[in-house]
Amino acid sequence: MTTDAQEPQALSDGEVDEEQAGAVVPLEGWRAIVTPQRTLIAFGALMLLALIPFGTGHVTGVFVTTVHAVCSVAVLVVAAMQQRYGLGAFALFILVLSLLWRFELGLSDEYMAHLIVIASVFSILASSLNMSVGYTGLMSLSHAGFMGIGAYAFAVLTTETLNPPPGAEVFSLPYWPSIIVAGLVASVVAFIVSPILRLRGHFFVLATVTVMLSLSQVILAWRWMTNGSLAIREVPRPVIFGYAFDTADKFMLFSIPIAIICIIILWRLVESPYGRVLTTIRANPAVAESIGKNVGFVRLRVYVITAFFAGVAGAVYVSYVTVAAHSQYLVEFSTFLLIMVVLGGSGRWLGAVLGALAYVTVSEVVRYVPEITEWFHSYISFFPVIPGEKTGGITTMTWGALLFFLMLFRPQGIIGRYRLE
Amino acid sequence: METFIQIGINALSLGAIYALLSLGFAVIYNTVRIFHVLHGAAFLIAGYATWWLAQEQGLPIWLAASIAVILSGASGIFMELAVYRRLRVRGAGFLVSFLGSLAALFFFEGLLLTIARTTARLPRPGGPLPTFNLQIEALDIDLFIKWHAVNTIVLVAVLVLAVTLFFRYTKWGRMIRAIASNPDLAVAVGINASQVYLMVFVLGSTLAGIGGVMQTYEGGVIPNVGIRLAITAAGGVIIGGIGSMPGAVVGGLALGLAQTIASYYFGGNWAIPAGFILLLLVILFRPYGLLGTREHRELRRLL
Repeated sequence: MTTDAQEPQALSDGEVDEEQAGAVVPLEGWRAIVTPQRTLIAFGALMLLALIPFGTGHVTGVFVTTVHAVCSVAVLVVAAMQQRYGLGAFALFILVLSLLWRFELGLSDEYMAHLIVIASVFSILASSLNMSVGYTGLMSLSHAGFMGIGAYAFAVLTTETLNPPPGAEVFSLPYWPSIIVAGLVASVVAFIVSPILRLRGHFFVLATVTVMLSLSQVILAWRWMTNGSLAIREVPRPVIFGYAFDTADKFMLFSIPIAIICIIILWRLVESPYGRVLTTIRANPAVAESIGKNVGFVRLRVYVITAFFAGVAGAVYVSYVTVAAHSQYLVEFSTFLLIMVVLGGSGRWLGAVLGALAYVTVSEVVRYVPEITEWFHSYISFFPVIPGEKTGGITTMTWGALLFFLMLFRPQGIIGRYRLE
Repeated sequence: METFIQIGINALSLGAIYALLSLGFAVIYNTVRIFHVLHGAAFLIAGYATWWLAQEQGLPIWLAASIAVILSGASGIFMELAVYRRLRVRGAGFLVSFLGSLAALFFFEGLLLTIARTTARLPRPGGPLPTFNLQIEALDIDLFIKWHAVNTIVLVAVLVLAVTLFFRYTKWGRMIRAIASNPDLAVAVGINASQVYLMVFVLGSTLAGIGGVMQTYEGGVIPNVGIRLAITAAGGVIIGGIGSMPGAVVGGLALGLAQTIASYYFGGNWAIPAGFILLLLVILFRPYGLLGTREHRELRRLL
C-alpha cells in the first residue's frame, strides 16, 4: 500500500479470497452439513478422546495410532471431495506423522505426551496471537515477552526454593489463583507499553520487537526478582484433589482442558459481533470509526486480552517444565509464534491451532535430520553427516525456509481467508 | 569530567559501528521502502568471512577483511535477486516483505549455526588490542583509549563523508535519490529501477559488512546477533529520522551513547533496554526523528 489509489484494490483482493475459501458460494446437500471444518473438529475431538486411556502399554499405543489414522483419513477424504487441498494436505501430514511415530521413530508414549503438552501450550499462544495479528491486524512480535512475564510471575509467586534476598518475603501462593495472577501481570505490562499502539506499519512492528527485546533483557537483569541467568527452579506442578499431575502423560490431562477453555473463549470472542469489529478495524480503521467504534480503545483491549492469555500459557508452560529460564522467552520464539499463526492461517480461529500442531510436528521431524543424513551417508559415502548437536541450527534453517516459501506462494496460510498485505 | 569524556569516547566507538549499520539500512530503506531485517546477514557474512579467512585459512588480516567486505557487498546482490525481487513480483506488501526478510535472516542464522562454529573470534597472538593513555595536564585528565576505537571512528567518519559525496555528486547517487524521492517519475524519465535497487543493496550491505569486520576484529560475533543488529540499525534510522542520511548517522551515535551510559551506570544487561527505551521515546514524542521533517511523505501512512 504505497499510495492511496491501491486501497480499494486491497479490499477487492480480500473479497476474491473469501470466494475461493467457499464463504460466498453457497454449498448444497451434504456438503453444506459435512464441511471440512466440522469434520476436523469432530475428528479432532475424537483424537483427543483417544488420548484419555493413554498409558504406557503397547495396546493403548496401537489403539491411539489407529484412531488417529482413521480420523486423518476421514478428514483427508472430506477435504479432497470438497477441494480444500490445504486442509487435506494437513490431514495427510498428521496421518504420515502418526504412522511414522508408531512404526519408524519409536517414540515412547511419555515423549508423545510431552509433545501434546507443548502443542496445547503453543495453541493457546498462537490462538491469542491470532486474535491480534489475524483479526485486529496488530502485527505483534512481543507475544513471547508476555508469555515470559506470565511464566516468571507464576514462578515467583508459587516457588518456595527461590533464594530471596534478606528481608524479602517468599510468596508461595496457591496454584490456581497464581495462574490468573500471572495472566493479569502480563496484561498490566501490556497496558504499560500500550502507547506503542498509536503506531502503524513498520513502526508498530519495530516497537513490538523493541518491547520484546527489552522484556527479555529486563527478565535477565532484574536479578533479585527473577534470579537472573540462574533461572528459577522447582516450580510446582498442579495437584487437584490429591491427584498430582507430575509426569508428562498426567500433565497432558491438565494442559489440554486449559487449552480448550482458552481456545473456546478466544473463539467466541473473535467469531462474534465483537470479532467483526476487530476484522473491520484490520480492513479499514476509518470505517470502524465511522460506525462509532473507538478504534484506539478496541486495539488496547485486544492487546491486553491477548497478553492475558499469553501470560496464562506461560504459567502452564513453566509449571510443566518446572524451570523458569530467560533463554526461553526471546525474540526468536516470538517469531516462531508468528510463524505458527501465519502458517495455520491468520484470521481463522482454527488456523492458529493447526499452526501450533504443525509447528510441533515439523520440529520433531527436523530432529531426525542427523539420523537421516547418517542413513544417506551409509549408502552414498560423500553425503555429509550432520552431527546431532546441530539440530538447533537445522530447526532455525527449516523454519526460515518454510516461512519464506509460505510468504512467496501462500501468504494466507494453510486455511487462511485473508491475504496479508 | 574525566568520566564523561571517557564515556563519550567509548560511546563514539560503539556508536560509530551502529552509525555504519544505520547508514546502510537508511540507504536501502529510503529507496526500496522495505523493512530490511536481512541487513543483519550482511554483517554476519563479513564477520564470519573474516574469521574463516584469517584464522582457518591463515590469510593476513587486511586481505581477509577486504575479501569479507567484498563478499558482504556481493551478498547484497543475492538478497535483492533471491529474496526481495521474488517477493516484489508477487505483489508482496510491507508485512509480507517484512516476514520474508525475517525468514531469510532466520535461514541464514540457522545455516551459520549448522556449518560454522557458534562464535567467530579472532586469535590474539600479541595479547589484547593495543591501547594508549591520553593525558591532558592542563585539565587533569587521564584517558584510556583503544587504538581500535580511534581507527573505527576515523574510518566511519571517512566512510560517511564518502557516502555523502557519492549521493551528492555522482550520477549513480543522483539516480538513487531520484528513485527515493519519486519512484514513478524517476522510472518515467528512464531510470532503470531494478539496477538502482541492486546498486542500493550492494552499497548498504557493504557498509554493514565494514561494520561487521570492525566488530569481529574487536570482540567476535555470534549468529544470534543478526536480528538484534538489524533492529538496532532500523532503530538508528528511526531515531535519526526516516529519509535523512545524516539522521541515520546521528541516530546510530545516539543509540551507542544511550547504551554506553546505561551500561556504565546500571550494568551491561541494561544496555539493550536503554537503547530501546530511547527508541520508544523518540517514536512516541518525535516520530519524525531527530533530523527528519514532519512533512516527510512516508510518515503520513506510517502514523
